[in-house]
Amino acid sequence: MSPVIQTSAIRSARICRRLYPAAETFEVAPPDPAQDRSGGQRGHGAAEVPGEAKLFRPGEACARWVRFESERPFAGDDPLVSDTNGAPLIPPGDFHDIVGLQGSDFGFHEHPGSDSGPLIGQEFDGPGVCHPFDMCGEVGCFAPHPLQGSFDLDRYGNASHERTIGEVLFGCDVGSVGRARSFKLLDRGTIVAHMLYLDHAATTPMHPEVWEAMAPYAGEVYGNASGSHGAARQAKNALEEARERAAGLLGARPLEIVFTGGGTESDNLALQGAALAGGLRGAVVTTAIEHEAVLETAAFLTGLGCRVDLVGVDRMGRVDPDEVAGAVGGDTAVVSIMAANNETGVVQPVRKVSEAVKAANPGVAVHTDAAQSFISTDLNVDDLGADMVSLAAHKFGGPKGVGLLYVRTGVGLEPILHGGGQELGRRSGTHNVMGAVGMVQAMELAASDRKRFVVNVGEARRRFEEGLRVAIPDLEVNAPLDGRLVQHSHVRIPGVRNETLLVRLDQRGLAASAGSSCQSGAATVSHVLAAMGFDDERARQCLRVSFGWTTTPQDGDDAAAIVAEAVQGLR
Amino acid sequence: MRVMVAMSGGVDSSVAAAMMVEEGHEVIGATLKLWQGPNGEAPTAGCCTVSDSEDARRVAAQLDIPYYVLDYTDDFMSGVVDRFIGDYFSGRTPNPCVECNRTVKFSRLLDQAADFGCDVLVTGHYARTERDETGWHLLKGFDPEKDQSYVLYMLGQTELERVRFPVGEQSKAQTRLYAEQLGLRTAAKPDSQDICFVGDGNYRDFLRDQAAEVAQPGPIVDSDGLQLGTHNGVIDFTIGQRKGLGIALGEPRYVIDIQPSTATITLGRKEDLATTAFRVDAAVWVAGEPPLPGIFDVKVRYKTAAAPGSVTPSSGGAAVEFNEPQGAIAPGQAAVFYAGDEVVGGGTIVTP
Repeated sequence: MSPVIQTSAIRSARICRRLYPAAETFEVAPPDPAQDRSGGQRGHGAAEVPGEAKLFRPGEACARWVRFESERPFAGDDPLVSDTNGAPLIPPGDFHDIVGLQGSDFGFHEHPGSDSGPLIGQEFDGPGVCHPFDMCGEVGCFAPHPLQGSFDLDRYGNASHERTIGEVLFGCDVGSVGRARSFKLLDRGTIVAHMLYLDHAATTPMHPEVWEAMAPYAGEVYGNASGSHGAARQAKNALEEARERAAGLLGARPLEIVFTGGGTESDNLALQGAALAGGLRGAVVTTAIEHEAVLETAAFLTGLGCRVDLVGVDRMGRVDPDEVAGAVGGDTAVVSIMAANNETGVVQPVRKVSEAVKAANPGVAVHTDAAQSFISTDLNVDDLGADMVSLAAHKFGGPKGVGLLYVRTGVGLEPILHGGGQELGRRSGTHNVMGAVGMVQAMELAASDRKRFVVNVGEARRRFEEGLRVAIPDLEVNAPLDGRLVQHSHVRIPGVRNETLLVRLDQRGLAASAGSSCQSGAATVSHVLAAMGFDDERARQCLRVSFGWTTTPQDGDDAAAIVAEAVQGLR
Repeated sequence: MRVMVAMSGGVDSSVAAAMMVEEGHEVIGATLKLWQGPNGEAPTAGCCTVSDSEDARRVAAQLDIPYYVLDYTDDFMSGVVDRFIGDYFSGRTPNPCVECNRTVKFSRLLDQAADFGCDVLVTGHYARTERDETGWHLLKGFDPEKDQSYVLYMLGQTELERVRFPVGEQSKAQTRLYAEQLGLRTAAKPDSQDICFVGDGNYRDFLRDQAAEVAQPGPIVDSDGLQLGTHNGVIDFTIGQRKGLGIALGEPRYVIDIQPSTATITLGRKEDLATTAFRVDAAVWVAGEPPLPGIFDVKVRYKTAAAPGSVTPSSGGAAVEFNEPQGAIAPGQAAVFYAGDEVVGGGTIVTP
């Protein structure tokens, strides 16, 4: 019989103490090698603990800290904690308590220790050895000695990194197929839920290297980049270097880069700035599927007296360049069309729109919100044909609260934030040097990782959609066959309301999205889907799964299985 | 057992959630988003804020339970608001909290809880449930001051099987003490004057925006038709209301009649309100079938004490005759029948 730790044990430590007796004993069923599902596919041939040995299934809770004691001594030939050749790594006599935690591999297959065997002891003792990716190697973490206090996952970073297969391993040597032991549970602590994070279109986990690049600016480099002393110069140099690197990646000139407080601010600056530069006489043309940052800004400008024209989309969510150009008049100041939609991932023909718009009125500035696109698409501002481009760092492994707006030389733009005149007067406010450095680090990482990203994520999405279609034959994929971002999967599951489905997915540890939600988190009917002709009922049956830089192809299979399970009983 | 707790952000549902956690259940917290905004405008690209839900969210975080905000704006609009407006123009005084319980919380939310894999739905109501060989029973809450069984009379056997009211087993003081001991942020939150998610008087503002018709000024008259003053909308009045009439007459006057069609409010003396007999329709019997005719305690308003009367069930409704005349019987309100502490059933008052 499988041991069961109540997954309901998600509660404060205080309550927890009252719920659990200090000690209880249970058996871990012997794993069956024949059921080793990993087949050597997960990383380095390390076997996953088969289902029977699991205490926690994907999405179920996993202990933040757990202490166990073995009920019998381990013989010297027990490869309980061994290297990949089966050689014991810990003298049996030293082996009293075991803490095993299996996380996952995140799509990053390079982690210290993985080639030489399980990570032993380092997590707890080694100086800075373990960052989130190391810790969650497929071998789990083992402690050779009784642990003092707790093994605290939070030490190792953002919980959203912990995409887990979710086992707590009870002495199973997963490197050479585990075996059953009897263990006594000594104590356990706060339980955290692990998740399969597939909501990268909402935001992405920050890349550890990004934080490494930013860290000096949270510490020793603190100057105000606008000053004239040494501390200021350090900051200024870092800022301008970041600007150059960002420009280089986009095929732009450094002074065409304006760092902002994020994608929303970039969009506001582009639209309001262009409309204001036209003395508020400038009209705005945009599309019905833009992000709220554009649509609400356009609505605000309408209130100020600007004319705003919204162009619709076809049933696949695509904008027609000629229709956009048709809406452009002599008084149009700015046209805004997103590079790809944040809900459906449908790629928009920005270049064609730009060409058609310029043919209609060469004086119009063409803006594109490329927040979703950058992580998977090479963006060159000239190839894109855009005069202004918005980016948000947190969509590609960077920090939240920083973005940029590319502004082509010659484009008239009034500032919307007034003050010290930073960023060539286009964006006042003390420079966010740390943010800019982090953003650019993330841009470079994304650019250099794109090839891998596209392959991995594309495979994950293929497996997800194919797997889900087997379980749900009437599944609809809401996008054209080609022409969508590789990381988005936007599907309709007939008969299943997304609000309920998302909760059931959350219960199973899968973080996905309805594509549109309000501030409270309640699902709302998407304006994008409405523009595509969805009625409320169909719109409420849509699910967005978005893959990212931590995704492995296996995640696609897992996600399909979880969704298929979650819809059971709802249809 | 997996349970869903409907969390309003108040101390009662906060404690209900904590009690469920402490009992060892797997607990999910949920708050219902009932409308879009002060103007009830349709969902737009902009975001809604559910400020009421923030306390609930924080308590859920403190209890370390998953928490969701669920969109019930459509159900609330059709089940409660539209009906309120419709009933209003029929000269009735509906109880939106009863309607919300009937059409939203203990119907659709109950089903959705099941979809989430929850065995029961838990609320912070002060009422008790018991089961014996004859089935489920709905009882008054332990704290007589706080009893809310009145607004739960529509619960039948299938619903009672799937609901729990943990704080109904204790006094309000115990609830607060419990919240303090756990350090819940809602421990000292003042009691809501209203009984459900529709906050203190907010529904009137809300309805003013929804239906301008109910906010038309009109005359206030006495029982002889003599005009005493004017008002800003019949929506501000209910049968039996004494305060906030905006008129000083030197002796207590009560609203004895509301005519929405002419926006006329009629005032009278307390004795003008006295009624001996009335009928209810849409009767619901907790046991699933009507009781034999007999004397029960009859409660005709949430804040009014029950009075004994004979209740004679008939098809779909019941006839009630009080032993002593009672005041302020308002069509549209619920009449709930008790046998001691037990709710026998109830219905909607149709004739005074």
